[in-house]
Amino acid sequence: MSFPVYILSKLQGCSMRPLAPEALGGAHALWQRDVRLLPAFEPCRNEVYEGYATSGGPGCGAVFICDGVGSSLDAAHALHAAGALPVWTSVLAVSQQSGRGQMRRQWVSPAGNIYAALRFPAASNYPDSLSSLVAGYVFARAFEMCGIDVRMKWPNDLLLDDCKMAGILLEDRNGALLVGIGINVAHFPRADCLREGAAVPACGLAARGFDFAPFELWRQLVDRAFFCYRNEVLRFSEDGLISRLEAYLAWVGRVVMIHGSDLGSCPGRLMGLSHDGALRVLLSGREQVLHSCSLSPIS
Amino acid sequence: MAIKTFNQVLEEVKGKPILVANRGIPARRICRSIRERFDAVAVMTATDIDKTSPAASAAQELLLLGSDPRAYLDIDRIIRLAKQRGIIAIHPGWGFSSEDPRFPSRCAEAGLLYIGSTAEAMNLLGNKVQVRRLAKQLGIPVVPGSEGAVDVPTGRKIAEEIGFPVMLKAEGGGGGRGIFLIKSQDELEDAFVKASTMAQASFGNPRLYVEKYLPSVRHIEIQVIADMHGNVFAFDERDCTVQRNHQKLIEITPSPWKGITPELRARLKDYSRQLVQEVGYYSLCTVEFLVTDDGTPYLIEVNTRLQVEHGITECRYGIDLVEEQIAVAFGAQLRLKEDDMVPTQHAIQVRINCESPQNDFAPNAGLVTRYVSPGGPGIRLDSNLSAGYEFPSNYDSAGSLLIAYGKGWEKALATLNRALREYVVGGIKTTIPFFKQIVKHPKFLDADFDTNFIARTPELMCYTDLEPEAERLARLVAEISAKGYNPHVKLDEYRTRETPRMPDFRPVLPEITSRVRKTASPYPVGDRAALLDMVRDSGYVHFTDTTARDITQSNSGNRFRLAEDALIGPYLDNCNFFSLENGGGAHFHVAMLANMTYPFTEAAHWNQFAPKTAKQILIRSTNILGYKPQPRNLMRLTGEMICDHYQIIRCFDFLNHVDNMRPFAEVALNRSGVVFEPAISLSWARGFDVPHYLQVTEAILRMVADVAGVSSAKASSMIILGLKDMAGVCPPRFMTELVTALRKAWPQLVLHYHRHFTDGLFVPAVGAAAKAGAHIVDTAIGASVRWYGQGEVLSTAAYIEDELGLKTNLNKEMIRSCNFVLKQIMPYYDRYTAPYFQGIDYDVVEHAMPGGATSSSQEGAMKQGYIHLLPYMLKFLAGTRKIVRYHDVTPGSQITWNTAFLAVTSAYKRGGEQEVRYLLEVLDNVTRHSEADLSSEMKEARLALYQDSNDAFRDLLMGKYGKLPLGFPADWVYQSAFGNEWQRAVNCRTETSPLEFVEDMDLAAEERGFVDIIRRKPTDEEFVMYLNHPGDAVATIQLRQQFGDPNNLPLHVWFEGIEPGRELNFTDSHGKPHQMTILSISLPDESGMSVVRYVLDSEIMSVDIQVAEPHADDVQGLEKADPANAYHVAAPSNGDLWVMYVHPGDYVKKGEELFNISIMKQEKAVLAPVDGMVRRVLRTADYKENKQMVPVKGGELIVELGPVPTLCPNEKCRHPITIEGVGFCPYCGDKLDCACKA
Repeated sequence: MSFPVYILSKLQGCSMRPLAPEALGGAHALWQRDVRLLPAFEPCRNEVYEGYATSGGPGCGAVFICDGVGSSLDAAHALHAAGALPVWTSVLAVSQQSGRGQMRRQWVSPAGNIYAALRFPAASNYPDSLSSLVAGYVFARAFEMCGIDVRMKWPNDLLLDDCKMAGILLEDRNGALLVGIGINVAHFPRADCLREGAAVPACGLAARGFDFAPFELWRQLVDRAFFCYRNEVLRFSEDGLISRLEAYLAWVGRVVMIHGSDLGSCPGRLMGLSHDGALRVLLSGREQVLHSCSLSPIS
Repeated sequence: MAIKTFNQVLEEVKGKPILVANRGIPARRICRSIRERFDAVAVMTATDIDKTSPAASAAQELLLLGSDPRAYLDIDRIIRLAKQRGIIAIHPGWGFSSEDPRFPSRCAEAGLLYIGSTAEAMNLLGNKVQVRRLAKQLGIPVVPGSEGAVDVPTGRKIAEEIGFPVMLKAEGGGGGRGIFLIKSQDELEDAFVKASTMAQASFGNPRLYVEKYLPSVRHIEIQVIADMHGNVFAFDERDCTVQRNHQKLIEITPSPWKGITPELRARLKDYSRQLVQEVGYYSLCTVEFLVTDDGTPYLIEVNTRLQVEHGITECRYGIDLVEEQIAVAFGAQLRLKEDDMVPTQHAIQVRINCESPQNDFAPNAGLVTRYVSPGGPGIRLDSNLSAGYEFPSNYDSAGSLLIAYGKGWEKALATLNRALREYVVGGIKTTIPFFKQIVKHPKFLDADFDTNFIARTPELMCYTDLEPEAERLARLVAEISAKGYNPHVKLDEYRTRETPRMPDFRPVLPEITSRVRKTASPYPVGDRAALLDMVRDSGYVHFTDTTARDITQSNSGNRFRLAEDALIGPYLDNCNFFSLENGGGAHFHVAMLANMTYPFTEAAHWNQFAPKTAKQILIRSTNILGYKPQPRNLMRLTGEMICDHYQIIRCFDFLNHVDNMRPFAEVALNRSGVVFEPAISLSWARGFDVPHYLQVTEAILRMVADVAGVSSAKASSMIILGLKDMAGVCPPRFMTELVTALRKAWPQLVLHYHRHFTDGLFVPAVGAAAKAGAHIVDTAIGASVRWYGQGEVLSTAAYIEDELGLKTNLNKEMIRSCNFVLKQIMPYYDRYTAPYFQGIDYDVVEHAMPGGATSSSQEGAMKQGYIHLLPYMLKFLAGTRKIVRYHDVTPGSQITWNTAFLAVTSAYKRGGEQEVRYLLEVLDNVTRHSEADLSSEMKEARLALYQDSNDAFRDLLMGKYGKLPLGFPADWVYQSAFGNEWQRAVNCRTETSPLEFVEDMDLAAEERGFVDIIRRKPTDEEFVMYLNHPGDAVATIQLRQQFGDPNNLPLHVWFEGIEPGRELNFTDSHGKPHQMTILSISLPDESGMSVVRYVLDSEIMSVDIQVAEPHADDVQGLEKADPANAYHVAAPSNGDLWVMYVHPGDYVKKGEELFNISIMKQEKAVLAPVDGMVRRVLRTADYKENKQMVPVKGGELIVELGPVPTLCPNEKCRHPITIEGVGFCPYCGDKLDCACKA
C-alpha cells in the first residue's frame, strides 16, 4: 500500500510558514536528502489545506509536512477538527515556533530534528492509562528495529545510554489521541541549556553516529510502530503487555531518585509497573504505586 | 557585661525559658544541659513532622513552627515567636542557621541573648578567607593558596606558584562540599567554570579560591572555649580523620596517631588560643587543622559553634561544654583552669546515621521497628531514635551519636566494639554494621589512617548485616500468616487466610533400630569395580529409589524441602536400594525457585542422614544442571562438585548425541568412587528400533573407551548404561527385545532401566526388562507415587518375584515404615501443589509427551484459555514426531510442546477451530503419504505447519542442540519454519556438538559481578549455583539472607502460616528453641498493608506486610460528579490536574477547554460539554506558575457549570450578562430588557 506525503503551505485553523518542496530541501542538509529521494511533488488544494502532494511509498498512513507551526500537535488538532486525520496519519514539522513538552514546557525546535504528531489508536485491549506507555513502547520497538537500542524512562521518554533522545507527549482532545514526539536527530540541547532539574542529559542520533534524515526516519518509525502495535500490543494479554513494557523500562530493579509531588526527592528501588501502568517503587521497604513522579538515575 | 560567677548565672536563668532553635540530636543534647544545672525551661522548636520525634521528649515545651519542614531556617520568624513566648536566650545548636552571622545580630536587635558569639567575631573567624588572612598575620601556617576568591588568570598564576595538584574550593562551601581537585593546568579552565556554576547553584555564591592539595593528611581539631573577659581554654585535640567525602564519621580524642606529639599538641592549642584572643571571640569554637605525615599542621578553618563531636571532649575531661557555653553567654567567667583540668579518658564517637553504607550511603528513612540501645560502663548515647519512630526523610540522616570512653585507646575501642554489638536498630539500615567493620580493621586499630581511609579501603563494605535467624524466620511466618499463602513457593495465591487448614504437622516416626542402622549396606562403597561386579553377579534385580528426586520435583510446590528429606532419608537408607536418586534434573533448579534450598548443601546433608546408600544424580549432557549448553570450564567446575556429593551419575542427551556427554565423562571416569551412567533416551517410533539403539550404545562405549584409554569391551564393564524412557511409551515386548540384544552384544554391561508410568504399563514393562536381564530398575515409595513419575516399589517387586520368578533383596519392612512416614507428609504437598492431571494417558504412545509435562502443559493450556484446543495440540505432537524425529525428553519435549501449542493457537487465531482442523488434516496427509503421492496443493499447504514455530524449534532444526538422531527432516520443514530464509538455514545446519561453539566463561569476571550483587565473597556452592541459574541463585541467597533457613519451620507453617493466638515452637540453625505467637493481623490499610503484631520469645514485635494492592480509588470525602447532569464536569480518570483555565463567573462555549489532566504524560483536555457559565471550580492548578500538580480522582467533580444567564440583545455583542440587576450591558452599553433572557 502506498501512502501520500503532503507539504502544507496553508491549513485551516492553524497558522504556519508557507512551505514549498524547494524550501523544504533548503531547511536543512538532512531534509535536502529526504526531498531528493521522494518523487516529484504536485500542487494540491482542498477546503482544508493547500500545498503539494506526492507518493511516499509503502507505509501505513499519510504524512503532512509543515514548517513554522506553533507545534505539530496544533496542526494535527486542526487536521482532526477538519476530519482529515485518520489513525496512524501524522504531521511532521520541520521546525516549531513554540514546541511543547509536558506541562507546556518549552521544546526548542530547530530544523533537522523530528517534531511529529501522530494520531494514535484509542486504548483497546489495555486500559487508557497505559496509552502513554504503549506509545513509548511502540516507538522504542520501532527504534530497535532501526538498529537503535533505546529504553523508556517512565513513562515514555526514550533514552539512548541513559541520555534523552526523544520525548513523547500524548494529548487527548476531542476524541483524538495524539502522540507528539520530538526526536533529536541533528541537534540536541547541551547540558547547560536543559531546564533546571532535568533528569538526564540529552543526546542526538547524528552525534551518536546514526545517519538518518528526518522524513525517512519518521516514515520507518511509523511503519514499524504500526507493525508492533498490530502484531504485539493487540495480541498481548494484559499481564503480557505489562511485562513487555517493563522489559523496555529503564532502571528496573535499580535504585533511582524519585522526584514526586508529595515525596520531595528520595531514593527508591524501581520495581516495575502496576496493572494500570503506574510505577511500582520500593520506598523505605514498602512497595508504593506512584502515578506521578519523575525519575533520575543515581550515578 | 559585668563579670559574673557561675552561680550568679544559675540564679539569673532559673525557671526562665531558653529556646533551642534546632531539632534532633543537637536540640535534645542542649535541652538536657538547660535543665540539668540551670533548672531553666527547655523550649525546642519543632515543625509538624518533629513534634513527636524522640528528641522532642527532652524539651519541656515546644515552639511549633508548622508544616514547612524548612521552617528551622526562618530566623526572623523563630525570633518573633520566641519573643511572643518570652524566651530569654536562644541556642542555635549545630547545622541550620548556627553559622549564620545574621542570627546573633537579629537576636541582639530583638533583645534576646544569643548563646554563641557576636556577629562580628563570627564573621572574622567563620569566614575562611578572613581567617586565613588573620592566621598569616599571626604566623599560623595555612594551606598555601589564594587570598580569597580569584578569577581564572589569578587562579592559574597561584596554581603555578604553589604547584599542582590544587583544589578549587567554593567560598560558600563547607562540610566537604564544593571542592574540586585539579591535577594539571589543562584541567583548570574547564573545572573553574564547572565549579563556579555548581557553587552558585549549591551555595548561592559562585566565588572560588585555590588551595594546595595535600595528599595524605589527618584532620585534627582543637576545641576552644572563651569568655567575654579574655579567658581562653583550649582542650586536647580531636582526631576526625576518618571521613567519607569530607564528612566526618568517627571522632577520637586524644588522637591515637603517634605523630601527635606533646609539642605539636601544645603548638596547635597555642595557635587556637591566639586566633580566638585576637578577634575577641567568646563562646565555643573549634579550630581545624590538617596535619601532614611529617607532623606539619595547616590551619583550614574555624567553626564558630558547638560541634557534633563535642561529646568526646566532654567525656575526656568530665565536663559539660554546653553548660559552660550557656554560662559564658550570660557573662560568667570561665570556670576552667589549665592547672586543674587534667584529662583522664580516651573517647571515641561514631555517627550512627540512617544510611545504607552498601548502597553508597543512601539515606534510609522509614519506620524503626525495633530499638535496643547499648549501655553499661563507658557508653554515652545522644540519639533521635526509638522503636516505632518513623524516621523522616526531610532532614539529615543523623540517628544517634554513640560515644565510648575509657582509660586508654584500647579500652575505649573495645567498649565501642561491644556497644556496637549490643546496638539494635531494626526496620531501617544504619551505619552500625559498617562501623563494626571499621573498629576491627587492623589499620584502624593501629591508628594508621588518613582522610582517604574509607575511600581506599573498599573491603569495609563487604559485610552482611543480619539480624538473629529467629527474628528473620518470625518475619517470614508473619508474612505467610498475613497473606494466607507462602509467596516464596511461587504457586500464586494458592490459599487465603480463610481457607480451612491442615492439622498441624506432627509426624509419627517409627523407630529404626540400632541393629538395622549398624548393618552395612549390601553394596560396596567407594569402589566402582567392586560395586559393578556385585550388581552383575548377585543374581538379584536391584532397585533405585526415585522418591526424593523424580517424583518430588516437578513444580516448585511438590519438591520436598530438606526438612522432609531428612525425615524419610534414614528409612530409605535402610531399604537395601542400589541407590537413592536425590538430585539433578529440575530438582536442582527448583531447589532455588521455591525452597530457598542450596542443592549441594542439601546433598551433603543427605550423605549425613542417609550415609550407607549410594546417591544418584541426573544431569543433562551439555547443559549439566542448566537449560543451555555450558562452557567446558563451567562444566568441569559443576562436575567436580557433583562428584563430591554423588556416587552414581546418570547423564543423558535428548538427541543421544554422544559427543555432548564427553566432557562430563572426562570428569566422572577420573573418580574411582563414582560410577558414570550414560543413558540412552528412548522413543518408540519408526526408526528408533533395536539396531538403532545398538548403534547408539556402541558410540557411547567408544567414547567411554576413548576417554578412559581402554578397549570398548573393557569400557562396557566400567560403566552402567541407563535406558531412559521419559515419556513412558516403550511397550514390554520392545524392552524384552532391546535388553536381550544389549545383553547379548555386551555381556559385561550393567543395564539400568528408568521409565515413567504415563502409559499405565509400568510394571509389565519393568518386569520384561528385568526378565530380559536389566540389572537395576527405578521405582519409588508407594505414598509418593503419582502417574507422572515412576511406579511403586513393592508391587513391582511382587510382580518380578511372584510372576516372573526373579529375586530381589529389598528390606520390605523398612519400605513400609518409610511409606508410613510419607503417607503423613504427602497430603501437605498434595493439597496445594498437585499438578492438574495425574492420571494415566495411554495416548502418550502417540503424542509422547513426557510424564510431568503432561500435566504442566495441560495447566498451561487451561490458564491461557486454550483447554479446548488441547486434543488438537496432542494430535499435532503426534504428527510432528513423524516429521522431526527425536526423543521426547527434556528439553526436547518442551520444544515439541511449544511448537504444537503455537501452531494450533495461531491457526485458531487465524480462523477458529475450522482452521485448526484444516491444519491437522494437512499434517495427517503429509505424514501418511509419501512425497510422490502428495498433491501440489498439499505441498503448498504444509508450509503453514511450522510457520509459527519459535526460535527453539528453529535452533533444533539447525542442529544447535546437537545432531538429530535420524538426520535432518525434509527441506519443506525448513521452508515452513524459516520462510524466505530457509535456503540459508539449510546451508548453515550443523551436526557438530554445540560444545564446540561455546567459549569458556571468564570465571573471575563472573565472580566479581556476583560479589557486587551479594556484597560478600560467595561460597563455592553459591558460585556454582549462580553460574548455572544466576537470577534464581541470587534470589535464593538473598531470601536465605532475609529469612534464614526456612527448613526450621514445620511443614504446615511453611504452607499456611499460623493463626493468631496459636503458639509456634521452632528451633533455629544453632539449635536454640524459640516460641512465637501472632497477636493480631490488622485489616489492610489503603496502601494494602497489614500490620502483624507478634510475640517472639517474650519480645513484642510488629511488621508491615503488603497483603493487597494499594487502592487508589478512594473517592470518599470528594464531591462526585453526577453523570446525568450535563453541567457537571468530572475528572475523566485518576490523574494530576495541572492547569485550570476557567474561573467562577467565566462564560464558556461548548468545546472550549476547561482544564487539563496529566496521566503519566498523557494530557487529557477536558472540554465544556455545553455552553454555560462557570459556577464553581472545585480544584485548581497552575503548574507553570507554581510547579504544583493536584491529584484528582476519576469521577470527581472539578468544574460545575450553570446555564447561560442572559445574553446582551445587541447582535454585535451577545456577551453574557453575568451581573444581576444591571440595566445596561457592561460590554457594549446597550440597554438591557427582560426579553433578552436566554
